Amino acid sequence: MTTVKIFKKPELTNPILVGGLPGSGYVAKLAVDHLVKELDAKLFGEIFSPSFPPQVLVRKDGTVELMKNELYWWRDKKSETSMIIFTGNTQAVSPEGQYDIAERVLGAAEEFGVKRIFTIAAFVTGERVERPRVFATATESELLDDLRRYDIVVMKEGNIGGTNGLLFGLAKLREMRGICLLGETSGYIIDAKSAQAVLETLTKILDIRVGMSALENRAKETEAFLRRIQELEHREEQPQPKKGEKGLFYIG
Amino acid sequence: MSIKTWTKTVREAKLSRPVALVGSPGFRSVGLIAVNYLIEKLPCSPFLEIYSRSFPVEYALAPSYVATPGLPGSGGVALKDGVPELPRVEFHSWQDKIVVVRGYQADFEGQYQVAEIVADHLQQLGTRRVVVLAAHGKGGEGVQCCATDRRILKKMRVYGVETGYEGPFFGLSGLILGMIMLRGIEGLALFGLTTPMPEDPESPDLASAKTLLEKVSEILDLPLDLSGLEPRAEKRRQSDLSKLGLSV
Repeated sequence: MTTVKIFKKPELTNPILVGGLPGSGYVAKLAVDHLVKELDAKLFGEIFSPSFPPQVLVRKDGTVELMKNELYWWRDKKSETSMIIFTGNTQAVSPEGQYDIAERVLGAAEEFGVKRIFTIAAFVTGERVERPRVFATATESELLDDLRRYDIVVMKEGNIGGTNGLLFGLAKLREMRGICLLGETSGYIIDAKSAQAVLETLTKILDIRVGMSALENRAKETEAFLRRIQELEHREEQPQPKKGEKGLFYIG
Repeated sequence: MSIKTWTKTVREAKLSRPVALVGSPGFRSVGLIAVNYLIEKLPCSPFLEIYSRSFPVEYALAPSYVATPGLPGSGGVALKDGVPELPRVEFHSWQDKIVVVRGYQADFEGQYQVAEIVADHLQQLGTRRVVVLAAHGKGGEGVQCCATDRRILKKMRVYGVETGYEGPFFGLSGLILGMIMLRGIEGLALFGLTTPMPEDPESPDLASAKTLLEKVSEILDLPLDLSGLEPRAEKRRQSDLSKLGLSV
C-alpha cells in the first residue's frame, strides 16, 4: 500500500505545486533537484509505494536508500510566494501505481490549498540540439495564451507519459490550474542543458531568482564528454595502419 | 478479499536479540548458496514459513530477481524427492542467536508485501542486526559491502571489507534491507564479487559464495567448516571459465 509520511506539516499560504520525477533525459528530475537545492527547500514528507521498482539504491558512500518520492516546502521571505516541490528517485512502474501516486500527491497538495500546479517533463526528439526549446501545455486555453509571452513552443498534440503527465492531467479533473513545461531533449543523455532551459522558463513565470551555475557546469561536463565520444568515433573511422606497417604515431 | 501472503509457524523459536542472515535467489546465486550452506552446516532448523500467491514456480522472464509488472509468471509446486513443495520464504534458527532467512523472489505485485512481512517478523523476533548475503558483478574478487548507516561501514573496515558498489540492489534481499531500515534495525549487505554470466545470470558461483561465507564466519565468529564447498567451487569455476571462452 502506498504510504505518505508527513514529518511536520509546514504552514504555507496558497502554495503552488512544482513536480518532476525522473524520466527521459532526467530533465524533470535535474530541474526539480536543482530548484530544491538552490532554494534550500525543506523536506517534509516521503512517499513509499509497492508500485516503485522492487529494489533499493546503494549510494556512492555505501549507504542504502529505499525507492521513494519526496515532498519539500519553500517560502519566499519577502514575497507571498510559497511552494511545495514534489520529486523522488523513481517513478511508479505500473499505470495503476502512477495514478495512485499522482492522486495521493494532489490530495496532499489540496490540503495545503494548492490551486496552481507546474509539472516538468521531457520533450523527446531523438536529436541533439544546441539550444533546447521549451514546450508548454496548460489545463486552460487562457493559461496557454498567457504563456505565449515567454519563449516557449505550445505543445498541441502528443502524450506526456508517466506520473509527470498524470499529475498534470489529474489536476485538471480537480479543477486546479496546471501548466506543464517540457524541455527538448534527445533522450539519450542526462540533459542538464534541457533542464536549465525549462527551469529558466519556470523561474520567469514564477518571478523568482535561482542561480543556474551548477546546471551550467553539469551541461558543460556532458558536452565535453560527448565531444570525447565524437573524437573517439572519428578516430575509429580513420583508416588504421595494417599489422607490421608503421603508423603515424608520435610520442612526445 | 482472500489472503495473498500468509505465515505458517513450524515451531516456537527461543531467540535472544539474534542476528539475521538473509539470502535469496539472485545474481550468480551467491546469496542463496550461502544461506543454503549455513542452514545445512551450522546446522539450523526451520521455525517459520511465509507463503504467497505472488511466488511463481516459473518466472515469465529471467532473472527471477528483476520483477516486471504484468508478467507474474506461473504458480505451481516444485517436486522434491517426489513430494510437492510450495515456494516459500523460510526462517531457520541456530542456537538462540542466529536466524537464517532463505528468501524467494515474488512477482512484481508481491515483492514489497513479502519484504514487509519478513521485516515485520524480524522486528518481532527482536533482531538486532540483519546481514544480507548477495553478490555484485562490477569486477574484482573478495567481498564488499553496503549498509543502512555509515557507522556499520566503518566497523567493516576492521575486517577489510570496503564499499565499492553504487547502483540498484534488485529483488527481495535488497528490499528487506530497506524495510528493516524503516523499522530502525541495523542492516548490512555483504556482496561476494563475481563475474556476470549474461546468458544465465543466476548460474551458481560457488567460489564467490565460499569467499563470502569465510568473511561472514569471521565477522560473526561462526563455527563454519567450508571444506564442503571447495571441490565443488573449483569444478564450477573451471566450468564458468570455459563458458566464458577462457582457458582452464
